Amino acid sequence: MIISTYLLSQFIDLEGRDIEQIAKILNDIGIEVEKLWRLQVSKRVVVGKVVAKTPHPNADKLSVCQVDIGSQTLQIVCGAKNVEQNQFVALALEGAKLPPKDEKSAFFEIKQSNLRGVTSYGMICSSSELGLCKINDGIMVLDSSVGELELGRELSDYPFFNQYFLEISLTPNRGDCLSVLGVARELASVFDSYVSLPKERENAIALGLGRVLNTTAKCNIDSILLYKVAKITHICPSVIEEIILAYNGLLTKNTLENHKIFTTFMTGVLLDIYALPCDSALPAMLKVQKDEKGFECVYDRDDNKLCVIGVKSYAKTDDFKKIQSQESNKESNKQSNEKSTQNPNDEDSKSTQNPPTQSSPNASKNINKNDSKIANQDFTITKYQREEYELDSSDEEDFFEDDLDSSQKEADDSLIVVIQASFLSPHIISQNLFTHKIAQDKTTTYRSMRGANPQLFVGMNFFCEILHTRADCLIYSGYQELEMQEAKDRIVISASFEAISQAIGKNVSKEQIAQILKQLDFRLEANGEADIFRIIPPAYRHDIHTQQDITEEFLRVYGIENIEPKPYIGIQPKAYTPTLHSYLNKRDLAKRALANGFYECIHFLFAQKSVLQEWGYEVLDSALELSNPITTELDTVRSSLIPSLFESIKRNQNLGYKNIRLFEIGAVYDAKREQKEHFGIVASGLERGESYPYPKGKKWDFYSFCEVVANILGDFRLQKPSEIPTQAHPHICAEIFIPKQNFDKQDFNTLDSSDFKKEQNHAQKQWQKIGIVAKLNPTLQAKLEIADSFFAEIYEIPQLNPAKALPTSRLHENERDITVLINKDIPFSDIKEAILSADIEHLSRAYPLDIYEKDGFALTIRLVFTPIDSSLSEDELGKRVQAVLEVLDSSFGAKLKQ
Amino acid sequence: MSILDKSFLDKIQSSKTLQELENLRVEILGKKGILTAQFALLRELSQEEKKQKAKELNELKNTFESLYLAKKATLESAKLHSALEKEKIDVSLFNTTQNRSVGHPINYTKDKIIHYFVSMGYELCEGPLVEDDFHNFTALNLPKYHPAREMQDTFYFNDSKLLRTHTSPVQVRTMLAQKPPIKMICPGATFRRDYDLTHSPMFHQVEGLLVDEVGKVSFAHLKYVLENFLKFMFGEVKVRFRSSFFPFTEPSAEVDISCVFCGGEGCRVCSHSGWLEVLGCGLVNDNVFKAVGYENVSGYAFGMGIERLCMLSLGISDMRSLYENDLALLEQF
Repeated sequence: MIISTYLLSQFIDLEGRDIEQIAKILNDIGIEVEKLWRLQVSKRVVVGKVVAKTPHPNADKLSVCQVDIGSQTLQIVCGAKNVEQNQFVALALEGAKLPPKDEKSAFFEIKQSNLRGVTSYGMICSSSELGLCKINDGIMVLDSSVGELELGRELSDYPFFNQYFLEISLTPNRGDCLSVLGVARELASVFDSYVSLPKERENAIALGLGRVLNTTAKCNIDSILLYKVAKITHICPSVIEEIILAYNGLLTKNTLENHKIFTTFMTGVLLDIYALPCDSALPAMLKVQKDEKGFECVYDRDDNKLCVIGVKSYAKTDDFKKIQSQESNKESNKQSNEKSTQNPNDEDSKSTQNPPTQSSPNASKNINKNDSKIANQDFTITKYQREEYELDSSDEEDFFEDDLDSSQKEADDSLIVVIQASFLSPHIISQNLFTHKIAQDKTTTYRSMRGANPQLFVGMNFFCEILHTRADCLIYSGYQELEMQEAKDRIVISASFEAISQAIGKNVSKEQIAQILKQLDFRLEANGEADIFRIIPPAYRHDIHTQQDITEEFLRVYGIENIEPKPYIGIQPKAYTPTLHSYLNKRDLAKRALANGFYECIHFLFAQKSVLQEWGYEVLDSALELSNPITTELDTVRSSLIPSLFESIKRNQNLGYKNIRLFEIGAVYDAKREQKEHFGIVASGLERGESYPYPKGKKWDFYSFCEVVANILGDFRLQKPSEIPTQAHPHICAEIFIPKQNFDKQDFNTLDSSDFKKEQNHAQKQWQKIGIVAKLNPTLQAKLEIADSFFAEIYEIPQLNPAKALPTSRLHENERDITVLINKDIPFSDIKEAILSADIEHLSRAYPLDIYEKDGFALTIRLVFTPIDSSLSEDELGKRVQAVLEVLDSSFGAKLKQ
Repeated sequence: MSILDKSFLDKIQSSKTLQELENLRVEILGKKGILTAQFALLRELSQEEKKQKAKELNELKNTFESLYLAKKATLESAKLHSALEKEKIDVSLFNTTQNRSVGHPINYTKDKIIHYFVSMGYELCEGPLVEDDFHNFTALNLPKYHPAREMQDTFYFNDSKLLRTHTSPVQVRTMLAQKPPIKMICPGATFRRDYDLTHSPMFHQVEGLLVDEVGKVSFAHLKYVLENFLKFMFGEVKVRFRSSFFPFTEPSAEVDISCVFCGGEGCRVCSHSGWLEVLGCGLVNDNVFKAVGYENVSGYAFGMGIERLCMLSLGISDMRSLYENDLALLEQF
């Protein structure tokens, strides 16, 4: 919301208040000032009047204007379509410096210039040229809303053109601040000052409202409504209003509508305006009742829905245009018309024929106290003519179409409008709108759901004041009010001074608390108990219900900055938990990956279902699927980290990178939407970049990729999977196994030397599958157009801490290499398994050393024997090697290569 | 060559290689060496002469040997030097094409935040990303019709579960599972249906919660921990609390730090205000305690966007770049 000091000063005295101080107060009390800027229209921009306008001799789109600035009349060439004779305009004289259009450009200085052969001695300005918000496509026409228009007076002399603008943002609980009045009220609370509210204009001779309007409630309603009727002949725009509404994106082309919106913007009161159907019998009937969905609505005599209170207006705003002043010279007409309406006859006989209408018997209550109070005045009105209100006896369509017909009588140009101010509790509106999705005016419900201003008279009087100054009109005196609940169940809150002090953490006196609450217009009552008091919040504060709300109100005005920070010293819950342990473990793994040159990625949790399927990953059951994805490319949640990691590989490869290593640790979902944490590792292109001493780089291969994966995860062994997943290369894919981790038992006391042997005993070791490592399927790789790529996806993230320490041998290990002829198709994991499970004494490791493919397939295996108590003799070693050979022979028919 | 004219001393000095020097040694002190021969002649001399001569010869020998050893050391060192010279490389040719990173900027920032609060005794808690309406909204004082819900555009699943829009449901879960006192933080990914320059459908938050007996926890405590934390994250910055509103806390405040880019002078990043908004906080709303069945407690809660803190502390300007995973960015950290 963009407000200004000029607007605020309509309600509150800001004299002597520094703008920085105002901004700071607003920020402190919870109205965030997003932007603050000064508007000061340049010097040498003055009020001028277009006294003559002639077409430019050499340019169709330009006109030559004579503009009177009091001391002289200047010739100005103007390109705007809307420039007309008799307009008051903002004229930039030679030497005026207009603000730059954007940050880059400089101030624009006005100079005498020649436009196609005609000299122009200045420029008639549009609102945007002056540094204001754009209000139209042409020049800005001035009117008396800015103050008395004196020719030649500098615009910056007028308070409106020399003030501060504030862009503020409001929290959703503060519907009461969605208006200039609301913000002014807040400032007044802090200043310990008051706001001045618009009063009804004394108008002793106006006609009574009861003659033309009869409002009834057909059922018990929660809304409160206030009505007034005006007969409008002409209506003029207000340039101030247009500028402010334009800043807030609320400007319409309809002047009456603008006046209405501006009233709501200023006061927070919701207004609706209905043009009275001309053929309806007077007094007009308005009925309020609930519709079939429980919304409280206003209907006309013929049961046409005029509005859903606080939700949507069905008024035909086009009707309003008929009285809209099209030309600026209506400004002067208005002055004279206003005088004539204020000069009625003193014949009072006819008015007695139309006494105030009785309330409908159906309505349980129809308060019309104001109307009756001023009833005497009604009878003094003399020039009452029934015909005037009937406007036109022809059918309705004619009535609405004839507005441009100049042959119509003067009286036919006027319009009778019912002005309705309404309020309905935001809770009721919010709940109804949640239950039923119905058509709504978003700007209306934005306000009504947060709480509009229930001070209906304030809004009504403000609007009538606009009509008085900006329209030729007659406003019927008095109000009609509909309010069913007498003194609505006002909220009374019991609060304790002590509790407030405790919550904010500072000892504040009762008097301080009471003082601030009073400044906020809260009513305080003692409760007998010294510490407890009863609080009644003002009607416009829909957000105050509890003692906590009171604490908040006190604190924000008292000032958070006045609270000294204090350390909390209290009970210390245990902080080292399995969650932290597992988190730190994940970060340790991440750090290992980082140390191995991998970059950490964070991808969206979202994925494309079809891509997951193409890659062979599971997808959510459709009953569990995402129902409102943001795009079709992110239409589900991921079941694997790998596809998005490869998307990033592709992206970076397209950016010119050749060696790309990425990883991510993150959540994935299975078909049942169970959340799991995966660890994805991918590498593509070169293991070593092209750089001295590897000018051609070094490509990744499966074994070197596994090496770095092991650097990260710790030792593992690989086994060919029984089924190759779609995303993997059919022959370069393995499942990763690590020794089973027993996290619960970390008993370091039970170790003895026999455990060492057990650890050596491969067969007794439990293995657990934790993931997969593979070369990317070549088809997917080709589709992505990326270099040779490898990936590992870990679905059981291992704990990095070892279960327990093992006894170590201080004796030299013995290595023996054997080369055997063996069937090429036997995987080494089987050979190793056979050797190690044979339980050969002292044999601690067996690993492949080399392979030979000349003259059949031969494999060299290195056997490592670890002596425990004493060194092994050649003889002992020989026997053990022989035992290995026997295992290989019996299991695989392998023979020692001679 | 006569041993007595001491010309061998010059010969030692003029030796250019270890081999030359060794040849000289053999020539003098070898089995057939000149000096060796002189020693052999001693036998033929009388006792008196022998003693005199032997003394001279020994002096000569000592002189020779000390000069020899000195020269040998010089030559050996020269040889080693030249051998090492041949191994000379330009060490600055080292050029790794693989930079080592300290982690994704978001996780780096998240770790730093966790580090602070864990050190301060906060328990680390995690919760599911797929949540239900109760934990994500209702228990947090956000009934279905509440206008504050409009602030959060939510991702829903077909079974009416949703992706959590903040990490607060973890606080609800923790409170339902544990009895007070509670002192916890919950970091993690959160989701809102929004994507533009400053919004990402997935982003990260850290929220904190402290609950103790009624009257024990105050706004002053909240101010203390947050001011301290922000100085840990950003160094010596000014901290400002502005009253605000959140459905789950009351009184609530938003917390600003003096702009880390301009020092509070006003710049583009802080929209010329000199302040940067970094946190939201407040005393826990009683309705939240009611929803989890707590009575007679008081507490505070705070929450922050990790991306925001990350961007401000590391000087990253585009939020979306954090999810693009471009090496150009990742390599820098």
